[in-house]
Amino acid sequence: MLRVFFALLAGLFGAALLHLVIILALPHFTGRDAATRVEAEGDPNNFYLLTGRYDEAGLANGDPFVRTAVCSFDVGEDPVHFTAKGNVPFWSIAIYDSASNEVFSMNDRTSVGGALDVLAAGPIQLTDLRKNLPQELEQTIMVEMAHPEGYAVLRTLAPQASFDEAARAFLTEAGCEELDAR
Amino acid sequence: MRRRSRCRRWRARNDASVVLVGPPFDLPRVGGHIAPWHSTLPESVVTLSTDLIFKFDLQGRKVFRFPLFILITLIVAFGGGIMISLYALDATQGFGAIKLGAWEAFPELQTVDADPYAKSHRARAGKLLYGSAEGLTFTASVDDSGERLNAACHYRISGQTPPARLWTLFTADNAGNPASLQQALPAALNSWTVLRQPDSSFTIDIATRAEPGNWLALPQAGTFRLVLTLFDTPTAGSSGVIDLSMPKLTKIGCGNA
Repeated sequence: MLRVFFALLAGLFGAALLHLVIILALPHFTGRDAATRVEAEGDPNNFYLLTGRYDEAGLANGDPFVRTAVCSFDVGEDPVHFTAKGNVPFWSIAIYDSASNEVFSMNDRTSVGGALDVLAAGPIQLTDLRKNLPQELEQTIMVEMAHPEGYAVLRTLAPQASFDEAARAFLTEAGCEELDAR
Repeated sequence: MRRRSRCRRWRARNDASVVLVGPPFDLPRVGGHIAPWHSTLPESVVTLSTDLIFKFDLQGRKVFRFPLFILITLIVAFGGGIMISLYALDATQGFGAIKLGAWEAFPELQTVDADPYAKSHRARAGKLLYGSAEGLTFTASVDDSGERLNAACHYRISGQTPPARLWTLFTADNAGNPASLQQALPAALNSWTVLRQPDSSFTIDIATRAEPGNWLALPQAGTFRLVLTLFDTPTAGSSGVIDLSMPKLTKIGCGNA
């Protein structure tokens, strides 16, 4: 009887340990976290618009009035420059790393002239850029990415049906391009 | 030679039902038959391993011994560990929620400061979350008195939202996705389309049957949730949470009451 009790006790201890390992390790290999889904949308450095229905990668707008576009990128080679402008009542962008932790977010209130102009780069690239800043990047917001891979989510609102066209134009013309090295 | 006979002596002393073997070439027999795999292994290995796995009872049948307890331990460890993990992941969304009346939000769910449960939940769900400067999502799955929101009942949201540039409100299923209703039914409202009183407060009726004023339709039956998203709001970083007032969510009646 005592041996059964010890076996159960050892089993409970093992269960606690296994539970801890599962919870801590799960984010690394679930295979269906947001970063994997955004990468499955298509090529990197391209904003893909989402619809109200779930697409193949399993992403959707999530809100009847929100229009979303996602772009996966890698700043290991070159920095990535996010640009967008349009006549929309509200837009916001959030940059996440490959573990889906938020690195940066902003909305149009803190933008210059209502246009999106953000540059994501690694620490060394940022130092180089700040030493010789090209003229077209003088008003760009610089975001440092500790890890090179990540994805960006650009959102705008269409509170009524008449705003749909402007929202679609805003998201379609948004850019997620790699900055050409000089 | 000495090790083998010591082994045999220990076994003979401690286990009277074990078949004693004779000189090196005499193999264990059960009912007069030699088990085939014995013939290729040295005798000490055979006897030790067979001793651990099974012993022979007085009728010569094999009986399992130690592995029963090892089996109990392993089953409790793996089964219990996996079940606890699945339960913990399904039951909660992690800690760090702010709850204002019936409305619950997780302002740090998308950040690196989220606790491990929240991160696991986030990785399994795979949704695109709102960043801190984008917006904050409040979900109500119960009304102000703590009862689950049910499509058979009629609810009313009244009051003001915390300060935000825009907000949207929609009925959702239990997974947080917009409820699928018929095309023409109003399933969502936002701060630009809601009808307000002169003091800019509003009243929204939520029912399966049409109501005058602001009305949100419901699916025919089952439980549902309400999702209120505040865009460009300082609510998440607000230290004085008590000062924030979310609209009241009250149940007016159920069925035809």
